[in-house]
Amino acid sequence: MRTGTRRRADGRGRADGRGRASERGQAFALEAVVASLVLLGGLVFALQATAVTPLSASTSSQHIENQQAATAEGVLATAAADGSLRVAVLNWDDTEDRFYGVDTDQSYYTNTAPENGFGTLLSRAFDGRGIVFNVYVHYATDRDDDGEVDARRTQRMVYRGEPTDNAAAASRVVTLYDDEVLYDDSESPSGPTVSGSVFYAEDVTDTDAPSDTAVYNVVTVEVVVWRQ
Amino acid sequence: MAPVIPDPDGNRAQLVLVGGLVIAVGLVALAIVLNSGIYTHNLASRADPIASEAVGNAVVVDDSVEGLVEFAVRDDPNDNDAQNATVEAGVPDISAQLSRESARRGVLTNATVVALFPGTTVRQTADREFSDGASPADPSWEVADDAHGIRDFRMDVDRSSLTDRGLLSFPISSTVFNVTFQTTPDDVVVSVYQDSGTTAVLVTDEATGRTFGPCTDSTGSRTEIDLTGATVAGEHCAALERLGDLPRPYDVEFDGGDRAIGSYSLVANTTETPSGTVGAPGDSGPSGLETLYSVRVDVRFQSHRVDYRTNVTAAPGEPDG
Repeated sequence: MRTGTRRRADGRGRADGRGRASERGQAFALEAVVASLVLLGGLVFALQATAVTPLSASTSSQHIENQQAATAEGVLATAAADGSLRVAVLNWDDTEDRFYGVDTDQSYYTNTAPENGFGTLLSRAFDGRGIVFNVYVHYATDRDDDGEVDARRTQRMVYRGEPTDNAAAASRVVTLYDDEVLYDDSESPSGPTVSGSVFYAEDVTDTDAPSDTAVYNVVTVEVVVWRQ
Repeated sequence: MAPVIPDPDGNRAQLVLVGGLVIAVGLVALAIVLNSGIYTHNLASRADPIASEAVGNAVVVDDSVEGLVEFAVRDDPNDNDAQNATVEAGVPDISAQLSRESARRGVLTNATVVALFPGTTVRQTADREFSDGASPADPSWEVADDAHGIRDFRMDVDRSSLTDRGLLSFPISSTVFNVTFQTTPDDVVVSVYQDSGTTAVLVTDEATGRTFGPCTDSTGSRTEIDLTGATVAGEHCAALERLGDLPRPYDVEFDGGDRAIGSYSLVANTTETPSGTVGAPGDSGPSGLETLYSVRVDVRFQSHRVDYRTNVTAAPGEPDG
């Protein structure tokens, strides 16, 4: 626009040049607008593309998930090594039909960790750090009593709500044998021998073996952890 | 279209346009480079659950079969055939249940028995000297002959029965109760004695003359020593960890068995009868029982990326086991 104005001030070719100069001015204006739009678009695109930064949720939570999963695996490995994981699985009150120490109507812990060695390990690892955990026991079951495993069920050991999308999980297998006995509230093996009537998991056989095997059930203890 | 090069009149709009494009493309390129770095770091820091699961599966099978071996021995003591049958029926059941669980994650697993290794339990359930069962009793006798391993070797000794160190001459092992592992080239000796009111456990490597320990216990009047688990009164004893590295086969001998009173039990990977006199199963003195020592299991793990196959030997209570 500035050039057009200056040209008109020159007074050259006023009659035949005025229209062309006016058209060029519009083209320059249009180009400037397009250039600014491209520049703006580029900036917006670049900002959008850099939305994933080391501190944004998607990447930082990955590291935290890794750490939480590793901690949960460590807790399970320690509990399996010192025998407290087996005690926690078998710490079942057969008269109340719930884990020992549960003070609600549920069969599982809701506010606290289990009152045994495994629960102590869980508390030391996660409580006080703003990390919540659920513990599930998955076990094989024979629903139609045809002597074969046909499903897996889950008994909650600790349930503190629905995990978030960024929850991490770790699990550990515990094999139970036919002569296992239930542990009481002082973690002594003084309860009855495990059977379908006193324990949440039943005696199952997952093979074509003609008779019952020494294996009672193969259960998986799963710990799910997430930040509050 | 207007000329790109500014004319003498100062037309610069084209230059601004091209400059804008260059800056925008540069910013986008920078963003892509930065984000690829961040994303690569993100991927690299992720754990590979499948790879660790393959090893974890072998550990789970090992743990489960070890428990099964212990159950079989508890259920049918002194009956090797029955113990073998229990394990051979139980392993496919464990394998099937583990396989059902892993199939939910798209992984195939399998475990099959490759071999069973019979062994011998030598134990003494009553409180008496560590001598053999002969009359008169021999205080120095071979408990296990040509053993390809020892597991679950525990003893419970009465501290007051042990020789007191204050009266001992050097070397200590010549005057106290010893468990001798006769290996090539030289023996490894575990000496158990009393030192200022505490129970002491000293390991001597006769090949080098070096001693390790002692590990001590002053609680109560008795001390439980787990030679294969490397603990003394429940506390870790690093000196005993040397027993896990002994060249096999070796003999196990009690020397100076009359210098200690207590009970003991061990499972040896041998079917050779001890040279000393042992009684029938059920005797409270030294007795020998047929016992399944270990089971070798072939473990397979197959996912869409990992095909892992290994052999594990389940021997509950073996050093480093």
